[in-house]
Amino acid sequence: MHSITDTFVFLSVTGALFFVPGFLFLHIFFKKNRIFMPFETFLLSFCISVGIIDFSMIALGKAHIVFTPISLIASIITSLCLAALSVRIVHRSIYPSEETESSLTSNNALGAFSRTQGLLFIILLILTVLIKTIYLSHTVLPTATDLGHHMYWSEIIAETGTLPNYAKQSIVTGDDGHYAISDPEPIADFIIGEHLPFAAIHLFSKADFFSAFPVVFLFFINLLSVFALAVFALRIAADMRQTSLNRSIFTPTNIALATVFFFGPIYSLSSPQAKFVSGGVVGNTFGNLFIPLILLVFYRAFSEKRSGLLTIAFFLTFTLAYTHHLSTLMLLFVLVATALFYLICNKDTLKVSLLHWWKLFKSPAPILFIIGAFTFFFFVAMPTYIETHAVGTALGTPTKSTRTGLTLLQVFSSNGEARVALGLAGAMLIFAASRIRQRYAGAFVLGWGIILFIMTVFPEWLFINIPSNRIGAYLSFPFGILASIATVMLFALFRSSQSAARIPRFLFFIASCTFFVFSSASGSIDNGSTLIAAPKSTETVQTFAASDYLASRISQNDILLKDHIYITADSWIKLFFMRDYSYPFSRGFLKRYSDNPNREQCTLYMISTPNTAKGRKCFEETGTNLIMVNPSYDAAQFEKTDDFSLIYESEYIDIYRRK
Amino acid sequence: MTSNPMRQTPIVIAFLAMFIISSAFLFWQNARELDPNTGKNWWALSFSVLDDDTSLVFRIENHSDLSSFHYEVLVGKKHVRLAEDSFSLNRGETIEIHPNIDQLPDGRVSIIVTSGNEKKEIYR
Repeated sequence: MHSITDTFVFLSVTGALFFVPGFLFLHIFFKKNRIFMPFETFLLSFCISVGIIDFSMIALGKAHIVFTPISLIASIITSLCLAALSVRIVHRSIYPSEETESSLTSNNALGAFSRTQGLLFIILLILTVLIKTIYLSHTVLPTATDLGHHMYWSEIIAETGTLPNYAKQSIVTGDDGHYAISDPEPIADFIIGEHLPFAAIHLFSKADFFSAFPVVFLFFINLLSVFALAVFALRIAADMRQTSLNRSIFTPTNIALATVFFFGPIYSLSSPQAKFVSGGVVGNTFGNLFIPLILLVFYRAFSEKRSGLLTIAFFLTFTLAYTHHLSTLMLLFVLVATALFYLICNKDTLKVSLLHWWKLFKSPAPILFIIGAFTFFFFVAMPTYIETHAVGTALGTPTKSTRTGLTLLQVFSSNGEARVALGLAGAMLIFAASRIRQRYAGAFVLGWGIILFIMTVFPEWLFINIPSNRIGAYLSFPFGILASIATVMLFALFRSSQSAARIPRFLFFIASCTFFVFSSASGSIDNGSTLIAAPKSTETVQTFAASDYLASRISQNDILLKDHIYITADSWIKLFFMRDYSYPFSRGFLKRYSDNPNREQCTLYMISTPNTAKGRKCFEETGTNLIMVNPSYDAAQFEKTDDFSLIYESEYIDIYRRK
Repeated sequence: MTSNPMRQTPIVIAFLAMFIISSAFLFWQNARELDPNTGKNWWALSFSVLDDDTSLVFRIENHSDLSSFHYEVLVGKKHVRLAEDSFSLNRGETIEIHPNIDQLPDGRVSIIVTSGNEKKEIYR
């Protein structure tokens, strides 16, 4: 009963917070949202709401107004009023004179599925939700390391009602070799937009951070990203029709369906899909929704020459910049590549293209937004990665073997054989069709795919110094869309009366079955390899029980060290104390100490070799007096000595106290 | 396009309906997994007071099917018994025990609790 109430409250709050502001914003900006299909209104309402909530909370925080439901509602209303005011100022540029009933009609025609297609779409969605839910039912338990880190900051925001100071204490070694615990120092690992939405949900619903709400919220974002990819495919496919293709097969709705197939029931678990959800990869999960949606809005802004849409694209990009650095970087590369690709393919009309773009950019709405964004960026708040000058670390010659690019084999295995094979076929087909290549549709999908492929396989060409597998996770999106286009295009080519490649109906049936079996098998193997056997619930509750025991007894003078290697859900322990991001201190993976000898070694010595001179020195100089370990791996070294009392014992957790 | 097109709104509604059901299941599943008593069988032994080395008050948190427990307070390397007793504790209950010891001798003092085939020990 309690969980049903939790679900109801969470869904109500999420619906009110993350749809209503964005929907009203669109309504104010675009006269009853006529230019959008329902899918687009649905997606944009969510993403714009995220932006409104993020910037409202940042503004409140900077104005030293404590976050409460009332202050947040007031700031959201103020944001909407400001949007309405700006619409009055730039009225004409947002509502072009050509805005008529015809755009509504064309939207309806483009987005209307036949009854069969509609049912197929729903079936694919049911399968997608079902498969992901089965996976998440084993991983919804709060054990993921990253999610634990993120929820610490969200809880700080919700508890204090202020913006967090992204800083942490660490063990440092002085010039004289003396160990000490430093004052909190800034960290660049986190970005405010990753935490504000969760804090906002908690403010209104009082949902426990240990409940399913963080995972369910990420799950929702992940599902929306499937919608965003389908809508992107739907829109660009409308700009790709060819006379040589069978018109009843090569339709935008069929390509949207194929896209849902490639991102829904197959390849639905491995990174960057459900695995990112359960792993609490918050920024990437947001980025995977925002990137296709932003590209969709940019695509429509340029192809339809709508400055209002350009403004929305800028707003969403600005929101993404405050949410995830890597996704923002990927997006910027994609946009530059798309622009260059378009200009190269249309070099004969270069001046005309540039003139159109210039006209679009110098419209009042984008200019007003750029001025507002500039003011916010420089005078209200910058993203933490800019403030801490962390951007430079992502650019430059690759420094580690994990950053020098993936092999083609690794690209195939990480993004799915069927998706990559058909994606490459799609890229070649579009590239070969000059009419498509020269359009915005071709430029966007090819620019997206080609630049990410280069960044994944040849990062040194673009001076990208980021782990290649992280970039590779973004590659599945353009390749999935290209695979959808290739699949439908090939079928349309095989059945076109005007095509030399036309094949008999029987062979067409065989080809369809082959495609379906190949894709489904590849995607299902990928799903199967990601499923885990059973949740570690006993280990987790024991970790939490021990943490709760300590939290109710510990004093400010007690310093706790826990093990990260063998304790389940250890990153969530800090939520019981809420003292510092680094509290308790943690013994990390052993490789990290050996790979980086300059890293502090005390956390290693104090658990692995507590009875050595180095271990004792660390205990004495850092004041560490409590150790939490898994007794199956780390009990013997503490039992050997009289320096420690064993004060807590369960199957998976021992707590030692130094005398 | 066929004569009976399906608009996007019903698809969005169908999706939201599926998501609501899925959310309810995940909330229920998480609550169940986090419940220390559901589908689990474990117990924990600890000192009640963290920072007082002279206190032998201890607690047992029982989330197992076991209900009969026995404790012993032993001291030194020879394990001289200072106190012992038996007690019962049901699943989901926590008990705090104050061993009846007049004077604490020198040396490591261990509290050993046994139940069925399981044994746990804490010491200070």
